[in-house]
Amino acid sequence: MTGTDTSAPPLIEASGLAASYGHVAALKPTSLHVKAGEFVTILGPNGAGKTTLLRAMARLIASRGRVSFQGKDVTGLRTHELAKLGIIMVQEGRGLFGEMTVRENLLLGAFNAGGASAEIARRFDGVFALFPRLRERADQVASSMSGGEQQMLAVGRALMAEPKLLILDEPSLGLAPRVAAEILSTLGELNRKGLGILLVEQKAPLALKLAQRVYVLASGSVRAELPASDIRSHHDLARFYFH
Amino acid sequence: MTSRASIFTRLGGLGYVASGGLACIALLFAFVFIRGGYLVTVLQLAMIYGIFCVGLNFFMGYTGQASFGQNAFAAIGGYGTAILCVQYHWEPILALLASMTIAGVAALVVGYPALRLRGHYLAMATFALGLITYDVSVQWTDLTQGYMGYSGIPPLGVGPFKIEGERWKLFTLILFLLFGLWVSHRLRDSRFGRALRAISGSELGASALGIRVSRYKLAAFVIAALYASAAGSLFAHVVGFISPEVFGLQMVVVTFTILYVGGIGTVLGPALGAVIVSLLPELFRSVGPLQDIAYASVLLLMLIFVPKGLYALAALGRPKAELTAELKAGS
Repeated sequence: MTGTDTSAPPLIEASGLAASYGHVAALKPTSLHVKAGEFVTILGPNGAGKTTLLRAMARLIASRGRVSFQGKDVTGLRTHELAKLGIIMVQEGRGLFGEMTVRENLLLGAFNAGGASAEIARRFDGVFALFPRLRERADQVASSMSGGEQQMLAVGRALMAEPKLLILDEPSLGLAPRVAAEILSTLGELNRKGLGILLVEQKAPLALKLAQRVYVLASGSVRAELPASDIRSHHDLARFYFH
Repeated sequence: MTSRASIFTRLGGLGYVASGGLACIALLFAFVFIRGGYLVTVLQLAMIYGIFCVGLNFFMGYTGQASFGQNAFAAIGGYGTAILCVQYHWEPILALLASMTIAGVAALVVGYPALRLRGHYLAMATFALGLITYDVSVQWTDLTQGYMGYSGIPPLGVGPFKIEGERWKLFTLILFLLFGLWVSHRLRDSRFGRALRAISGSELGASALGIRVSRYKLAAFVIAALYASAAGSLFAHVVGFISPEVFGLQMVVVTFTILYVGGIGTVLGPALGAVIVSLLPELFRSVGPLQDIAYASVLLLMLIFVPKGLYALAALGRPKAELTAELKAGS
């Protein structure tokens, strides 16, 4: 586990972040932060506002409140500008470009590298080392791969951007337990190398093994913020959900 | 990361259907060149429509946007070249390039606000653009000569050298189309082309990867306008006459048909569609009053049984592994 510098500003900090769908307040004013090199998990029941929170942070939906990244206010920035700063999100359902090949998807991940072919080749090597199966499938169309491989590609594509903060929305959704564990274990490995991770995950036991800190979200607001080690069972979680 | 080697691999890996199709098209052109006559004119128009649609494919195929107004830029090309050549005696090639520049700037100015719209709203806005341009070409008689149109537009050429024979005109148009296809192929597999195709897949998804969606959509719109303008100018030089009807709604309908029949989003589809859609009515000429019904029925059958366009047929007879990698990628 990477130690985090307590004096440095958080990698990302959201203050009073709120979002609505029409008249429905999906996310009430919420504050959270992730420190550099930290692995933070957001847990909560269906409809708690977890995905809305992530999408609001990545400016994929309109929201109120303030977001700062590495101490700088980024509230007014648009999604592509946040991506250039190093905030990359793997969306629920993977968000792959299904008709493109694995290689093309990965190249799009490295969009911020411009046309620097040596740099892109270096990033390819890094991702292929982490997910060797992607190298084997490089010329295959993304939609023709299995769910697990597609999730590897989604994470691999995000890594091609060399993010400073990786935001993931339920990466284990629809995957066999063994494959889900493999993906999450890779995330743990990336975090140990210093990558900040903010993860929304339904498979709480797996996420809790990796995370250092947990936010529990219910009914659109944060019910608790605590070290991951403090949650030992589903009963602990349920206590927050229904409190 | 399509290398030159992989392009040759693709060409070498053509299946029976694709090879047969290419051979048929080559034979058709050879036959028309030898025989001459009316079919040369039909293929000339097919090449002009092909150039228009290769450009439109950037915006509608690669980027997944809708535009019903590209005929406006063809009109700018046609009238630009006609006015500059007939009234100001410019060299045709310079007039063509100047008209393309005007069309590009017009697309930039119009596209900047219009491309904030999405889906049906964007389609309606571009449709309005086409209607406005048509009305301008009818009403602004001092500039456009209204319904009278422009005649006496000189053929393409440089200095004393003029491309006047119908076969030479067709040959020149084929070269223009091949150049347009080459640019389309190179851009499609470039960083720029991948960004366009990502926008087609998901605008939000593309944006989350750092792609400035609005800028790339605008670039695709301008490229489509440049191609349309070139097509308009070439029409003027080849036919020697233009009027508002040339760039009217009929052009929108025909170009949409070409894109979908040939294979929208593919490199060769627009060119293939242009040849097929231009030749089909000629094939049914012998059935007299039933010509339009026969033509429409065949188009309908094509859209039902080959919804991805005729270019998709090129994948038949190829190894399965190549199919997944190339047909689905739309290359």
